[in-house]
Amino acid sequence: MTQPATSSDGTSISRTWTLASIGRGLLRRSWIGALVAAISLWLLAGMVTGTLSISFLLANATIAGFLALAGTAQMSVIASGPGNFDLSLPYVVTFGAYVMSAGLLGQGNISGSVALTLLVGVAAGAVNAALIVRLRIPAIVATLSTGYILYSFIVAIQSGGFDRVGGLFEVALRVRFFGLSGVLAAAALTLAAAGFLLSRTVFGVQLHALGQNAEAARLAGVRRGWLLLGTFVLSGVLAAWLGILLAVYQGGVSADLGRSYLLGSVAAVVIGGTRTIGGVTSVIGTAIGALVLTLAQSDLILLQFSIGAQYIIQGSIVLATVCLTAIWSPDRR
Amino acid sequence: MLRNMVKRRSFLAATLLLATALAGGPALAKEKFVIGVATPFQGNGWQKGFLAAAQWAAAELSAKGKNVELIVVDAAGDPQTQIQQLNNLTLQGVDFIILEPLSDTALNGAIDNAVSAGIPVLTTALGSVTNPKAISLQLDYNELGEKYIGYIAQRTGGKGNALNIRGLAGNAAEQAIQDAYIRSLAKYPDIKIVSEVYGDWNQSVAQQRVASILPTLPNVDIVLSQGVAAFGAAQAFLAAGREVPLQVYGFDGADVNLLLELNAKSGYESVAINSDPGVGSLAVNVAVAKLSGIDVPMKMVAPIPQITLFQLKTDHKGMADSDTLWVKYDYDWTLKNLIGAK
Repeated sequence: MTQPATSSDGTSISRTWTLASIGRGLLRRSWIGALVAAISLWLLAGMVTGTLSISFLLANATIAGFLALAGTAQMSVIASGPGNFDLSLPYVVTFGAYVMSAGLLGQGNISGSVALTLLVGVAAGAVNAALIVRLRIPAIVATLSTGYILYSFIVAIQSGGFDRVGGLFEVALRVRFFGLSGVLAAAALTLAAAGFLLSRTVFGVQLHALGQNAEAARLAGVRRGWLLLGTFVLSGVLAAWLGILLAVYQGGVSADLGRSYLLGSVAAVVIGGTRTIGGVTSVIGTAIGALVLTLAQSDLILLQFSIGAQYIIQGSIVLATVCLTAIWSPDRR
Repeated sequence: MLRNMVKRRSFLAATLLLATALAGGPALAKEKFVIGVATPFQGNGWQKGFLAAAQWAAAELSAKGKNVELIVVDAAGDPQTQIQQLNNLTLQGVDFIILEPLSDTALNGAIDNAVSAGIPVLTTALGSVTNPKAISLQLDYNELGEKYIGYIAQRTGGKGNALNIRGLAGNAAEQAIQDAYIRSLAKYPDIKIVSEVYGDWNQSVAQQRVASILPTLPNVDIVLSQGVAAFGAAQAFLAAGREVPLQVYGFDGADVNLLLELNAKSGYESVAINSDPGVGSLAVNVAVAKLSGIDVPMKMVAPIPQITLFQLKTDHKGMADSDTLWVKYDYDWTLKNLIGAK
């Protein structure tokens, strides 16, 4: 196990992490294929450049950390039921970054800005949930419209003055300790917390139950409305937090900040071995999936493939993983 | 078709009348020029600058007695949406359409509709279309390449390892800029491109792609990019604890402020060269010239400005990160240097 980005939340996923079952358990993990792929891609990069570089792995893990946050947000929504996706995610990310950089509560009041940004994430999630639960609009339509509304907010406010976040917060996230960046540590901690929430709390267990069989969950006393509210709020908060991290990492904001995270988040979930039919989550799988996508991108650049070939190969990776997951785990739901 | 001909004839007659009225005295007609502006997406600073330049030119012309109104639509990056918007503008009966085409072929039919309804269409900024009925006002990428690579070569003595950050894959303007760079680079065989990444014309993506491969690139002397990526690339180098290599900066406030900051800290020097969002003012001026009955060539080329560190320090200090520089081209300048240029 040499996954610095994700090892911290490994314990929260495994339920039978004893010496006797460790080998058997590891082979049964849905993300084992992704892990093998990640290591192979790292070795491949080593072969191409002639040195097996830890700093290369850490640099990619930092980028993957962002994608893993987006993936985890998307995954919790996917888990809540078949066909549920959060299409507002990239816009919440971007809008969060703007709110963070606007310094609405006064320049230098960073904890206030963080709180306000996370609150925006909560609000976006709550609106999504209200549309889905109260008005019975399908998730994909409700989140799409929320996303468009957020996009128009972004277009309206983007000419205002936005500054770097600055302060101790920026210093802490930008600090580098043997190549390990503060922002990677922040992402890993968040993933660990999300993993705990999804696998060790009543909320998490009920969410899985709802996604696996909504009718059975209802009969067992799961309250769908509140649970969906929690799910979309979780997704919104994770997306807003990603916006905060990106604003600091990038040292500025732009209206296309979150654009690449819509398809990327779904791809990371899928490559992590989570099937998109609902009721299944794996934070560690999604994190490894994000690492695979990022490493694959870097390897293809290092191998100097044409951009067309890069897209074909990336698409094939996603497709192959979906097929393999479907073939290998016919009984999993 | 016949009705269109009649409409165009009467339109011509009207402009002729107007021209004689103009010649007769300052009894300026209250004729209103309604210009549709079909923008591709308003996500980035360049597009904001383009729109600001167009609005500046419209206000400037209105102040001079020509009543110019802009109707701005945004296709959110989707060519299908842009086709609909072109058709809608045609139905609304605007007098002129300025189009930043999201595709060089997909919009041809919609352009045909507009032109046969007597509405001239000018393509600009994002590239051209294959439809020969569209007037084309393009940025001079050859000049961009020569200035850009020329500056880099002059600073490095024509040699060094370059990291090349490209834009949005498959975009015609992206390819044209890249081709211009490569043509200019042919003169300097000792500048070697050691790695190439696509930044999707997106600061965030550019930074992440550069950051992820940076550990494998120990020696980078030069970064080549297309405008918005320069800031992201610099952030990637700074985050890895490395010096920012020589690179040319764009016109975004973030780019300009970063260059000024690096200069204040370590004496780092560079310039800003970019395809100029001020082409928006040229486009509006051309539209008004055409509508005023002036003979406008079907193909025109906009200039590429180079802004020195000195100019940035004196004229553009304290820009907001979200602002974009653009050059103001007024109506008379446009008539003399763009429309009149042969």
